Amino acid sequence: MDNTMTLTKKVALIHSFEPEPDAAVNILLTLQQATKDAYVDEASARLVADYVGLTLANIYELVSYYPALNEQPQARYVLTFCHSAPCAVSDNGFIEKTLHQILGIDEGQVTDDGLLAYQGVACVGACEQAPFIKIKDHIFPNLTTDKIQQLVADLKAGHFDDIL
Amino acid sequence: MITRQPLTSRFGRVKDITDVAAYEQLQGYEGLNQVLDATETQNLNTLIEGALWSRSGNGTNVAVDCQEVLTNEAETKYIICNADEGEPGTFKDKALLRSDPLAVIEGMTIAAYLTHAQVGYIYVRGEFRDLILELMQTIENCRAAHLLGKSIFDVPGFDFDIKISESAGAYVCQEPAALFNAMSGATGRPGGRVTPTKAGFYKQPTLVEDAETFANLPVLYRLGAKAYQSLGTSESGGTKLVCLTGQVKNRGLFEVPIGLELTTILNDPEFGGGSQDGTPFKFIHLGGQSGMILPAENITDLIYSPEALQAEHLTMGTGAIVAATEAVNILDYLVPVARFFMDESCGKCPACRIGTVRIYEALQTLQKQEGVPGDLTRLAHMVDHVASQASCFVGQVVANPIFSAMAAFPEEFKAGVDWQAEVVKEVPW
Ligand code: SF4
Ligand code: FES
Repeated sequence: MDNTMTLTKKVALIHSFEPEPDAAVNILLTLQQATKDAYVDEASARLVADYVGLTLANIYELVSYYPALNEQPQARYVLTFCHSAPCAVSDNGFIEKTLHQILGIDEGQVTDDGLLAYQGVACVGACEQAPFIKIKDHIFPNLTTDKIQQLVADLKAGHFDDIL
Repeated sequence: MITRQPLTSRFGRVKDITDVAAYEQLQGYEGLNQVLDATETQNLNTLIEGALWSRSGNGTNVAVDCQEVLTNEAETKYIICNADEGEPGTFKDKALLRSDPLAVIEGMTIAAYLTHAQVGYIYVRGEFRDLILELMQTIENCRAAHLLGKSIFDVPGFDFDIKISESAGAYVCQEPAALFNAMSGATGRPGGRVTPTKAGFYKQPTLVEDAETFANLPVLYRLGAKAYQSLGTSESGGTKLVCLTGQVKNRGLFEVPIGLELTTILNDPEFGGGSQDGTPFKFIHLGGQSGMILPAENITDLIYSPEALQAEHLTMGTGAIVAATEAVNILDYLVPVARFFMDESCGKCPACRIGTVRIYEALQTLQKQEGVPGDLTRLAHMVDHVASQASCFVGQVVANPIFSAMAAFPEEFKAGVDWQAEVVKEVPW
């Protein structure tokens, strides 16, 4: 986080919210999304805690409780797939296996170059497009093994740098 | 001639969904105008006669809730649109916010007028960045057009504004007690029962509904109670947004009149269009993960209305319907269902925290056909235990999909057990 956002920018972003405890999650999510490593580092957590009037422990409780907040730096591209039942009926089970094969890592691990990781998540409301992979706001729908291979190659080649 | 699909009638027809003028050209704010022209009693009567039930799955009557918030005196009252929508297989509220956010905002504004509430929140998943930015823009545009803020429509004292509260994802936040905690900056765990209309957000009278329910309010007031109610049944007015997923040919969002046959929703080319490979359906999972699993032969006469389903001890839930053919083994289906409850248990009650893990493991064992005699009874006991000891709906509803599936497909459960194996005697708790 530190390497992508100056302290001044970070503080400006935090100050664009109201200094109330109920703004904590909004701020943390916005900060996390504005940074390259997509996680809440300790310095930022401290800034948010002081600003909204919560303790650092409160902030870390939020970060560890909610699946959308990360305690650790994330890969450049986290490929999420759905592990809820409706998508399983749409036969999306091959996604995890395919990614494991292509990337040679387990779920939650990051490739050595820091570029790719994959993660199962609960329904993201794109069930009608299953089998899909979601990266940030972007859905890659109706996938096959070949299409996943292509997607990974494209990501490595930087083809999606502008949208993701 | 009124449209039979008023909730989705603007979908795809407006270039800029944040544009108030474009919304107004397509009958936007006609509902609120009607409300402002009528008396308080007339407005409440319209709500009662329109027979609008909450679309969020909690089955409450919106007129009753509004009346309670209205009569409970407080300095600040809240209108909360819970659009977090964590129920797997459901995407109707996201669709509404993405395609017609002003309908939801108009609905919240109507609710504010009816209940004298001043502060509104839309609670929405923070990871949907694009959606949140669009919502912010829409709210800004409303303020600029005096449709939010002070003296809305130049009515003195009609002050109402909306903020966005971002969710970081927790299914248990469908429970109002957890939702209020989450929105106030604490972790979203339920802390005892609350009655939102009396002591809701910050202990003030609060109306909590999902986006679909709010989007119904402008339709109800624009059409009038009679016309609105006649879209549905005599007991439940209006239409319902249904999310079809699984092995139906046409997966996606459909707006159906309440009171339609369930088989029509699944098989009619206008809706689900039958199964993808043309084979008959084996089962459906009705209303979300917390709903019942029904063998297809049992749904032939079912009517899709709250009252007809209730008579069969079923609910519409969030409007999710997952359909599967013979190709899907019931255990393969249930394992991810159980995993969902395990992942979403907030950990407060030991029975739910540990029991949902045990249920998930037991189903996996059966799925691998590694069960031993006694496992099915143990599974049933465990499900019973979790459902009876859980302090909120998350643990309580686990029993619905599992017991209904066990009743419908006992053979598939039995096939998960190696009946030659030694009986393991073990007290589950
Ligand atoms: S039932 Fe489960 S989700 Fe609900 S409060 Fe208890 S542990 Fe949390
Ligand atoms: S169930 Fe997978 S996205 Fe909804």
